[in-house]
Amino acid sequence: METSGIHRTQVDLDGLLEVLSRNLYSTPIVVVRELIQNAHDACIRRRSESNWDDEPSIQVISNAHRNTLTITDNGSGLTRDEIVEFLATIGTGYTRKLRKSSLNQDAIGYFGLGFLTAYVVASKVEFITTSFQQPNQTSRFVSKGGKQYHLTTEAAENSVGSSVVLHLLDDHARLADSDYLHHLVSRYCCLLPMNVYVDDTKDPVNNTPIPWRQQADTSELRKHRISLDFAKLFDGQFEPIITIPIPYDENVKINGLIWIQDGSFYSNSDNRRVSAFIRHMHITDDAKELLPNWAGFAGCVIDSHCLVPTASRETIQKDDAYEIVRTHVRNTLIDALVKIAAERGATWRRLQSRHNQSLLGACLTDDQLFDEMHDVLELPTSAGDMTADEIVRRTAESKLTIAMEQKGGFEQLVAKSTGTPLVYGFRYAVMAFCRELVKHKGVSIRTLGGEDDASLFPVFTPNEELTRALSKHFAGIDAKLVISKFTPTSLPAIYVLDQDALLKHRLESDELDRAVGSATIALARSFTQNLQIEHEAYFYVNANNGLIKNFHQFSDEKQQLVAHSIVAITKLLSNDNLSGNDSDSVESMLEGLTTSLKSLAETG
Amino acid sequence: MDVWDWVFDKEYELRDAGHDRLADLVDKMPGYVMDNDHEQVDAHIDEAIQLARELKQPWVEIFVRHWRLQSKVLHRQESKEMLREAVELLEFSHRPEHIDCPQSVCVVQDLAACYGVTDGPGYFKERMQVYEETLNRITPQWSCFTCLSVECISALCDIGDYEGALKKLDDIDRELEQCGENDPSAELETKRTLALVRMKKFDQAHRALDKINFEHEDPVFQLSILAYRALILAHEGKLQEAMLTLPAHTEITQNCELHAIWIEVVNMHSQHDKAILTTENLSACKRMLNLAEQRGANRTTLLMGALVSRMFNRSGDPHSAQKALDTMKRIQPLLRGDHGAAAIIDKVAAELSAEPT
Repeated sequence: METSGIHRTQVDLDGLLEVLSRNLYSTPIVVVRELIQNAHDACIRRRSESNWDDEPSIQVISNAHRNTLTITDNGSGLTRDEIVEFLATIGTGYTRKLRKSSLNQDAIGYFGLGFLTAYVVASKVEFITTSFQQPNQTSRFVSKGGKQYHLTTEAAENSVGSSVVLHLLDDHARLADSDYLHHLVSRYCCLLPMNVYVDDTKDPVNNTPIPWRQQADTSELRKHRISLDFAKLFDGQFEPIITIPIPYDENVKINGLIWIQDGSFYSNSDNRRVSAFIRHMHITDDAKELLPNWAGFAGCVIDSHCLVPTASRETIQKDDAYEIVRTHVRNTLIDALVKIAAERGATWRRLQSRHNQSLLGACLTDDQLFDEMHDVLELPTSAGDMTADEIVRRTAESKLTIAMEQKGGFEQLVAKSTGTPLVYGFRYAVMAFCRELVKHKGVSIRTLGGEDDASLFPVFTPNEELTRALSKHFAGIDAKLVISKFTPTSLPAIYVLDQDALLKHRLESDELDRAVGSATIALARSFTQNLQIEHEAYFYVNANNGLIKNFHQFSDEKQQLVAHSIVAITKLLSNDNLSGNDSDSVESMLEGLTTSLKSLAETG
Repeated sequence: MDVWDWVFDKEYELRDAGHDRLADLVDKMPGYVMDNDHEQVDAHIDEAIQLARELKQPWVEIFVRHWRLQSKVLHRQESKEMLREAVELLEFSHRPEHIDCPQSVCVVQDLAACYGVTDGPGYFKERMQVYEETLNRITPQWSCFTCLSVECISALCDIGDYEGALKKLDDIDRELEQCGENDPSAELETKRTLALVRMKKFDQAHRALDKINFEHEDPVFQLSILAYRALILAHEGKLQEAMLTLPAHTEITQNCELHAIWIEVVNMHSQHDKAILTTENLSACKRMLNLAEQRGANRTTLLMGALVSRMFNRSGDPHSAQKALDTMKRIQPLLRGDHGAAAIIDKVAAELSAEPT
């Protein structure tokens, strides 16, 4: 019979080792990082716990012939007891304890799991170590698979320090390839403030100049060069136009660099490249969320002391510190963009030529960015790219005139002829940006093809004789006659269908009745029934035009012929505006035009 | 019919012809809506329409304009601005040369939804007629069958016919099952949840939401599920849990369809604990109310206005309470039929005139 009581949770060591060593990390090559990190922490420990002031050094040696990889350091080493407690016991992270107890924040490790990675890539792992605490003894730890180990301690063979020797499995023989190793180590360790040597290189592989570690007396030119080279190294795809140092802040505790890419791509492409280091050790190249979503044209490297890695140390925990870092990076980027726009003409122009539209779109998603940059970003117009202020200054009505189509009708022609820059509302983010200007900055807009078009054709009252003549001979048209004055002067008239009337006609067509259910059409018509339609079309005659201006001076017969011709030409040119029910076909218009012109020619 | 097949084919066709930009926009537009990324819809739509016209792709134009309506009307409740567009798109999509585009059916939903957002009960009859008529034209295999059904259920809920809504849902379930469509729809289940909450059947409401696989849903529906869960909890009296479940107001700035629920949950909580009426929460309520009014969601403005006025009154701010009441009065003439509006306004006015709570 089973009795109730408190029991101890069991651990399947085989299973646990399997999970931790094989499934925790996405790729076994992180073993290189983990073991270098351990070596680094050993050096930190030796410095922290003894009066050691020699140069710390880490060596990574590959031996393709013997299929081994060795990482050697001149750090603290471990005593025999420490090997049992920290190396052979899973989860006891000495470095974590060291960071807590000694307040030494320079050590990297966290979870006491890094050494496990060795068992993924190696059939046998040897750890040979001489501790500074017992420099006359050397211990040798050997394990195959990590479930059991052999430990001996003898008189010292080596100086203080440790070596980890990995006898690589065939699947991971590549780790014994010198070039490959060189590449891996230089990537993982480039920020490590401790020399790391690979094979027999005289110079450490991690000797890339780091922008934020330059001496104060380094020249600006050199700092600039170092920053550009650093950015290029990490971006890998795009050259940087400009680099932006991330200022160190005591509350945020990050160093880093942002850069703007010199690339031409779609305005909404996301080419964020963010590499994150924690305590100088590479964690991930895929931390793009640290840059704002809208910064698809930027890259960034950060080295943080406050971010916390996940257990695999390949990603970052999304905790409060993460959000603080994100905010700091975003604010740095916005401040820099504003400053560049204000102070650095050539750089800003280069940036704008590549990313102006991306920034227009970005402003839609970031209120602060919009607030700070709305007046320096340019809108694409028929007269070139210009800021909203510039556009408004060039229009008589202080409005932005927006065209929603590339090929416009007469409205575009008239607007352009007045010198009004037409904003291309059909380009990425432009219309939405203009709406934000209306909402937040009180800018007025007019969209061509809408009810505002009448303002393009201001009413003009000529003398009585001309008015009488025009009214008489343009009376037959199926539109409201409006005598106006507009440019270009070469246009005698414009025929514009009322868009509301057009919509109403279309909704009342038999065709639509057949295609759409009766209830649906009734619902749609309840909208058009409420439209205030005064006239279905408008015929604007242009009193600036030579023919119209002098119209009343022609004989009555000529007035009639000229009027017919003008009506025919105007309707022909407006043919794409005509509703399907209009009785004038192109052919009949051309016939009418031909007749009028023939009569004009025959008239004395 | 799978209304998506032609879209995928069209994308390939556009790419093969070298029109990658338009293909990208076709590919991304629905995702922007479902990922709750409505600014991206605004940023891209005009370019997409222009390109579709230039390349003489009317079906693509219908497709992207439809998705704009989904974003602007169903989620952001901009019925005032979009009604004309919905009518124009209905006409455009039903021209003989375009009628075969599958999305022409979806456009019917957009139009009816516009009126639903403007005044749900006011246009109930017309909406139901449209839904019945359109649902009869299609089969449950059409993707838009679910969308239209959701709107039909919304209409029934709008007039308080929750039993009718549940019965209709059962009919819809049967029809979908018969066609082998067994996966629960987040949209239908949230509507079912609403009807069940209003009928005080809270356990059943929870079970309706439990049917949805939260992790597999798009972000826009995940927010919806959380909001409805919070609504059930609030009505059950589990107010703390409701507030913990309710999405933060900052998460739903663009999801105007959830604002009324958010306000309802906060209001219920405030009836027991006025401490919830922080400056931040009250400002959020006011913002949501103003947004609803500006966007033309008239009936919703009235109903939200009542709760907002009460909350301000409860918090000791009769001035703001009065302003909310003024909003209700301003909206009243815009409603299509009373449907209890006058009584609600009178009640709120009487509460304001009485001693502050």
